[in-house]
Amino acid sequence: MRAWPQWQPDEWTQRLHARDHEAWQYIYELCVFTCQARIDQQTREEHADLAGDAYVHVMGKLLAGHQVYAMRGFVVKTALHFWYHVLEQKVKQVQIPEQMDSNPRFVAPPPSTLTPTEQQQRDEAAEQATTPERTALYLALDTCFEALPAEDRTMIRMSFAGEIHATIASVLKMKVGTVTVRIHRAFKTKLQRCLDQRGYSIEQVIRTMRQKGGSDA
Amino acid sequence: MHEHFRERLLSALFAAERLSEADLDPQAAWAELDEYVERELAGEEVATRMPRVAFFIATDPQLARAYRDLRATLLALEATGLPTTPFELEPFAAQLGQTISIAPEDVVFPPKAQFVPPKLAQELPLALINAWERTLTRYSRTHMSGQAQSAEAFSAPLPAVSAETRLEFVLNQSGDLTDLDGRVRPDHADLVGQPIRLYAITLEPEPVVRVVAEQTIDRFGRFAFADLPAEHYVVALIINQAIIGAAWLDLD
Repeated sequence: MRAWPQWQPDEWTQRLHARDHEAWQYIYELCVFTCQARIDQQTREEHADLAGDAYVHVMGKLLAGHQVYAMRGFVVKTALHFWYHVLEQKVKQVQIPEQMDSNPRFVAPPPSTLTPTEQQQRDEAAEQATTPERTALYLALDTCFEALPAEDRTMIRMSFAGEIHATIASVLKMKVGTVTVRIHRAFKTKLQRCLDQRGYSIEQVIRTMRQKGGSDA
Repeated sequence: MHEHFRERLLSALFAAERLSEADLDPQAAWAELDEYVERELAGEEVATRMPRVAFFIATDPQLARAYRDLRATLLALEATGLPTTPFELEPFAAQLGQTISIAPEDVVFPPKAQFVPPKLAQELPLALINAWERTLTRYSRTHMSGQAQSAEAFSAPLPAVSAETRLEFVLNQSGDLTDLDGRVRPDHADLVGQPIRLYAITLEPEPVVRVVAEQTIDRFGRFAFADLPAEHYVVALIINQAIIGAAWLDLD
């Protein structure tokens, strides 16, 4: 095992274009690491194939001059995006039965990407959420959410249930961009206005949530 | 209403409050996602400073999943470090360096994917002979025969995905005949069932193109042509009835 190098983006760029073996290998190893950690495949050979394909994809972008904020994040993100597309198409082709994967857009859903510590913190926060101030806020929130137009509520519920905006758009027969804008307006304009009318400005909401027992907004 | 649902409502509300409608760009959010996670892991208050990413994480399951996977991977990387993996640079460098872009004039619309009589099928490819002869990478069985290696014939963007596609093949000579085993990589469902067409090219006394065989790509991305006599050939990948890429084979 070895740590990820602390090279700045400029140094990465120079090394990659100079075919520096160490730099190329770090990125390859990160693709392999990510593939093994996140992609559910049967065999070592399948992992190696997927990792190699993603590596070529990532390196193609880097050598083409793609701007990078931090190399490791870019590599992992780009490789994941590549696999999502490849595996999505495979899943479409194979048509995995629903009992194997309730959301067949991608591979099997991640069990939980939160670390146990974070999960515990969430559970504790939920248990402690019964301060009077927060209870009152939640009542106002429930009321305001139910006061939203039915279509807005449907869009929000669907997106929280895991449906992508394109799916919501096809169900509601509207453009994808319209769904995104409608969801944004539902929160920024309608929900917040309703909360304002009940004495909860955005600052007040944040204060309430940050009170002892609340999670950080 | 469930506690977790309320928290998600509030997360989206906070992000939406700081985000103008003009900045509702999911692609920009995707581009900023790695920066968002890196800064978050460094302890910054990113939900406030990068509301666009925060909003799409709260409301777009695709970006939310990418966020979770990216964050979990980087945390695991910090915890365990990278496992050392055997790596050879040259094959990858060659693969990246051999990418050949297909110019618009190289793309034509031949007859439908079903096998068609050779006389009709040769008309459009006939017009491409000069361009093919001038630009395509040439592979011969002289240097390929007996070697268990594959060659990237071309790389072409698929219509439906951003990933590039490569055609690899191995030539096996048996007497005067040659077998060609090919594979399209990476595996992609859109390619399954798409035709790979084999043209035989005669240059003299006058250019003639014949469609000698057509195979479809199987679910593993493979195809094969057997018992090819000594001639010039062009192997062409056809998607949506357009020749997307081609490779020239000298088997004479």
